[in-house]
Amino acid sequence: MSRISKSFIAYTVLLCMFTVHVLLDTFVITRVYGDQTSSAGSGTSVMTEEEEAVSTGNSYKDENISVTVSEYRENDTDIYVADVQLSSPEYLQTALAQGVYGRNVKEETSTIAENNNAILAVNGDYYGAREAGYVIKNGELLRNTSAGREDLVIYEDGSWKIVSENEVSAEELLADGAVQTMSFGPGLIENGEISVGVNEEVKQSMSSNPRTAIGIIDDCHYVFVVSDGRTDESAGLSLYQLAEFMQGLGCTTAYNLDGGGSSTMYFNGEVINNPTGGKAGHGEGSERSVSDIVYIGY
Amino acid sequence: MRKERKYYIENIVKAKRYLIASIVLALAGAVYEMFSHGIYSNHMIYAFMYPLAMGCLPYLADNRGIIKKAGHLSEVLLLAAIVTLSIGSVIRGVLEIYGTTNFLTGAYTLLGALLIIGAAAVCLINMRLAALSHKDSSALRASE
Repeated sequence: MSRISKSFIAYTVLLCMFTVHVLLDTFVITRVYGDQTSSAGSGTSVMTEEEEAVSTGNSYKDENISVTVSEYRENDTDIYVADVQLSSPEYLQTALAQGVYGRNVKEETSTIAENNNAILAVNGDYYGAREAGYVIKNGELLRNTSAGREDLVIYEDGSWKIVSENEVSAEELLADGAVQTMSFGPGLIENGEISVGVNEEVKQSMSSNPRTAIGIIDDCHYVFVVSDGRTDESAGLSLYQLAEFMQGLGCTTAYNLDGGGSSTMYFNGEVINNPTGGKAGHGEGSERSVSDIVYIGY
Repeated sequence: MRKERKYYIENIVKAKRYLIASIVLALAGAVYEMFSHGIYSNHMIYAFMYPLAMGCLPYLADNRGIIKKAGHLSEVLLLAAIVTLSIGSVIRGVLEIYGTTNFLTGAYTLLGALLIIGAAAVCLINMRLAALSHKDSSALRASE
């Protein structure tokens, strides 16, 4: 064997090792950035004690929080809607997996929800799957690199706005009073009008998928929406179908979060949709581990 | 004529290998896409184009033995570039379908480009040397 051929084989071996490293770095190696326990990690406790709560299979009500979960069937898909009314926007919070900010720091939506005593939760924007995109959680700026995406910004006063990362910096958003950003998208509804195209999709996705979205109807009146998909029972929704559905619920602003296998809705200690994101062997009904959740709780 | 036929046969053998690699990549991409819940990636789908466009087709088109004249090192550098770009494309496809990114994947493109430049440089040097040596031997024959 010539020296050149030997060198080629050595190069190929190194290339394979590098490839293994890339895959481990992407999917396995955990890296925590900044403080080990970010205050954004576990939400901010806004009350020391919960008020007397009345809870049924599909509703929760106390002095500050009212949640009613309904199930719809549209476009050959099961859709779960949580109608949320709060006395203060502070009860709409986000939480990070394991309470820390980092890459490959993941937990199932239900686990993060339980750890934060969430009454209602859905998966968030899965910031950890990407290297760029603003991350502001519970008033703390965790990542300021732009990915050029449309972000949902939730301000301290409870108002929502969809902005482009190309037009405003994360620092400016924070200075303007942003307490949460969701960097996934796209925006579904703005000013009551559908803002997503009929054939628009999240990057390379085809039309029908499980979806997660959140919307605002009025001050402190929100909807969390999760649709099933990728199953024999549910085809899933296109972004436009989701936007139409949320417009029908009366949303003035609505935003698409991470969907597919990540789509999970947790309510009163149970996962109520049919997630399809579990590990091999777990089959349908198992959750995918994600970086963050959006939740209602104290 | 015999020499050209020899180049042609050698090239067909190498082109076949690249064609097989293209088919394997195309099939692997198709199977992966089949189980990707309708999420597609151009990197995954078109990974087969690297061995096809940079390996198979040039060998089929080269009936004058230009690649042979470029030298073994140049050929191996081109092969390394094709392997690097093909693996990089598949890995990018996997990440894209999962919905994630990793800046390290940029290394495949960078390495691939450097290897192509290296292959081209070695090819040019060898061709130039061959031309010079041909010129020298002609001049020597003329002086004799």
